[in-house]
Amino acid sequence: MNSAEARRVFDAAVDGELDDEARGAFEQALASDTELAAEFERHRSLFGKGWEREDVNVDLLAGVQHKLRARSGGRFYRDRFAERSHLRGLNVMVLLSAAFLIAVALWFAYQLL
Amino acid sequence: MPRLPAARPNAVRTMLDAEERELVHRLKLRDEAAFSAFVLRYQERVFRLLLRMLGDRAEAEDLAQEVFISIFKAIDGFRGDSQLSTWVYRVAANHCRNRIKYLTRRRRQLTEGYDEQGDDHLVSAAHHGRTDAPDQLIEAKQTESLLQAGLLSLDDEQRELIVLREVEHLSYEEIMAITGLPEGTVKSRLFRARAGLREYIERAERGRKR
Repeated sequence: MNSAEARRVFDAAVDGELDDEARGAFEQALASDTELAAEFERHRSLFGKGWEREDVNVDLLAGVQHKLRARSGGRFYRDRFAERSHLRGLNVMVLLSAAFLIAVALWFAYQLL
Repeated sequence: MPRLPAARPNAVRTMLDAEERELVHRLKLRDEAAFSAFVLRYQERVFRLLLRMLGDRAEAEDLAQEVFISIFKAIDGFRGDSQLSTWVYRVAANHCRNRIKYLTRRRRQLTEGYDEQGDDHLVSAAHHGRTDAPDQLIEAKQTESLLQAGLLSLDDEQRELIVLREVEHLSYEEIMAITGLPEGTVKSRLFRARAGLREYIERAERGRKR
């Protein structure tokens, strides 16, 4: 394997994808060409070990829950506010019923007078 | 002579294990506790992918939340013929491509009529935060920002492949499943992406020494 061929298989070598024969030929090419060996080391230092997975330190849960709650109209991740808004319809019914009863009572009172 | 590295894993588990099956089942029932556990389990992976792709923490955080909301809505579409993590990455990558298109359009509208900055801004981005203090932390930060600037100098497709392979350490099979690209295309694009990134970093380092 000459230097140009070896350069073409840098990625495969870093990924450990070369078979035994190609791997032997690649190592021979590195041994006979110091510039190529230095280039390969450089390539491997960039891509060989995989990059460090930095600690991204993120907490998405509260934001996701908040958006889901808002977009589902309080159906999911319901909080006390959502429960109150769910009961708002019921409260209106109770108020209307009370108003109706008061109106009926006033009407009877007026009739008696 | 440098020793060649051992092979990185390329085989991929396609079947769900019992724990994942149970989790998916509960997600399909819209079990809130299960979904919270799912977000906590995957949030770093999704966020890291988006952060590397977009290069903007606030944008990545907003998009990551949208990814999880999409998953919550669309989990019924997960058939279990790939790993859950692969499917999650696929959803995130799709969202990311759309967001990049949107941001590119918006940026073009905003910068219309202004001079192009050319390539120099990439090199100067690589120098961002440079100081002469012999501090390893600063050195690591410089390398980190150099890599991120190099990533952002690649086109979107190449950047996606580099992030999936080099940052998330995924196998070629997983990358094929996420991107929908055939193996040959993944490898040739990755080859060009690595070459481009190496060239960028060498150029930036030469500029730094001058």
